[in-house]
Amino acid sequence: MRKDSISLLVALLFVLMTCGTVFAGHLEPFAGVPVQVKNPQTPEKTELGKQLFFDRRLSGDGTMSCATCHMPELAFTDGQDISLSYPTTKNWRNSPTLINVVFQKYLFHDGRSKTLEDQALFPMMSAFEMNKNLDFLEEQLRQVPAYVDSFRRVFNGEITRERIAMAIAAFERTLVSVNSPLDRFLRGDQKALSDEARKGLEVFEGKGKCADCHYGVNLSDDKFFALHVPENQALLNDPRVTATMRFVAKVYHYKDYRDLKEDPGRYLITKKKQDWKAFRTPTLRDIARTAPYMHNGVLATLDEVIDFFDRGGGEGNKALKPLGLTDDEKKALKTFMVEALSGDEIRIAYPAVP
Amino acid sequence: METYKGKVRLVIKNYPYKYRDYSHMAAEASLAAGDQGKYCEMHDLLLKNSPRLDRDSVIRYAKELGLDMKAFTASIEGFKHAAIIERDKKLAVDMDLYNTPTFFINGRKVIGNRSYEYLRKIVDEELKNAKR
Amino acid sequence: MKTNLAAALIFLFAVSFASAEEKRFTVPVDGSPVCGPPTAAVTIIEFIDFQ
Repeated sequence: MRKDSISLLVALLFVLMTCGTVFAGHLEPFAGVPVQVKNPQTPEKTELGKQLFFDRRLSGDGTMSCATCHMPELAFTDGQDISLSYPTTKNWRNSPTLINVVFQKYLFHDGRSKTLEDQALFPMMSAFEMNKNLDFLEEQLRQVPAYVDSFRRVFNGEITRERIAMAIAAFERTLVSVNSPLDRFLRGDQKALSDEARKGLEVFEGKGKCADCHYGVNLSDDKFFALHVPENQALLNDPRVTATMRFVAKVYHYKDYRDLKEDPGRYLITKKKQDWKAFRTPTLRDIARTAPYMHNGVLATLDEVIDFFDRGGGEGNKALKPLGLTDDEKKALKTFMVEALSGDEIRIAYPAVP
Repeated sequence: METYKGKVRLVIKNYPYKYRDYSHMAAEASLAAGDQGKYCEMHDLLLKNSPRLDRDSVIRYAKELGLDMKAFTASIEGFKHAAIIERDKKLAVDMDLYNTPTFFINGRKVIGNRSYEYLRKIVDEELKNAKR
Repeated sequence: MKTNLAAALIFLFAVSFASAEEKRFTVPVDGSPVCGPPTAAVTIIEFIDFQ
């Protein structure tokens, strides 16, 4: 049986109530994914979504698919500090993993989307990502008989951008981290974690304060914090990046976009002062597989990440305080993150794109 | 490259992007220089000066390298190496590659424009492997 | 002759490190320009667009 249909079964078996029983600091094992009322999961829909996910027609020049920056082999990232981009342009942020996006209340580092159905169309339209005109995409896909049939079967209707996004979202919701040593440990298997990893878990929940924000089943509070991560030097003084940054700022009605020199983070979306340079707390599930880290990929390894938090974050930030971890504690914490948080590897059978 | 003199060999496949104006000519120029034994020099010069690769610039680079200008100009104007370039492009598509640059370092695939440090790390690992 | 040797070398590397974690690809190199000595321990194949 294919992985995505297994996940789907799991989802059907364990109906997870999403009302807030999650407390800060409390870690939870995987127990199923939230049921999608507005876009119900069906095997036909996730299969259609998978085809679209790998279809290069979704980019303007036919060279990129969703999988270009979310490669299955790299835990659905592209492994770069700054994400790949539409040819001749430059991106400005790190490609986030898609693993466990089903649990996220906000999508994008700045949280501009609240549903995957909303999110999926952004990179397609984005001038520096897939650069596709969606009206054109609809007409192109309507010329592919296999897609016309699939959409009719799945949605009982014709191909629209909304349904394209719904199918892709359904596929992405099958990408779930299951059966990690942490899951087994939290369900009572004391042997699931090595002694060193258990020591790391203590640091994670205690002195390291990681669980203050990275909690619940997805190890994330879905909130936004300005940690003042160092700027990625590769982004400064590159006119192509400046163009990207100012373009996004303009789209979000940032008044002084022509003078913008740094990534304003969530501020672009909310225009609230406290959101200046704030970014979403990411999941830590499968974290060992999704290097490099932070919204601009500036930290290459988990060691660098741990050191960053141990120092109390970046210069001038008010969200973090120095932790004073010993070398042993740092080592244990890393062992925990590497050993305990990696779920079963998600293997994707590449679909035949019609 | 210079750091690894004698230890690293570079094999070049042309993958000019279809919608870029000077990509094809630059590839032709590199191969035309190759006919006169100056491939690597032209390769480096083109990368150094990218994206200034219009016709006049490319001809200037050829002059800098002291190439026989008549042969060089005839070569780039006659698309003399189109077959090689098309062959490389077909290979790339067959291998499902769509990004430039893409590197294979002893067969290990590295996609996209990476920092020097990133590439150096892999090359060093491979050199270490080779010594064992 | 040079290029044949290159192909052989790459093949050797592909085989000898097949057990390594990462997938290694074999790329034919015949008839492509080469910079650097054929005896080099590391072969980098670049798919490049100068622009």
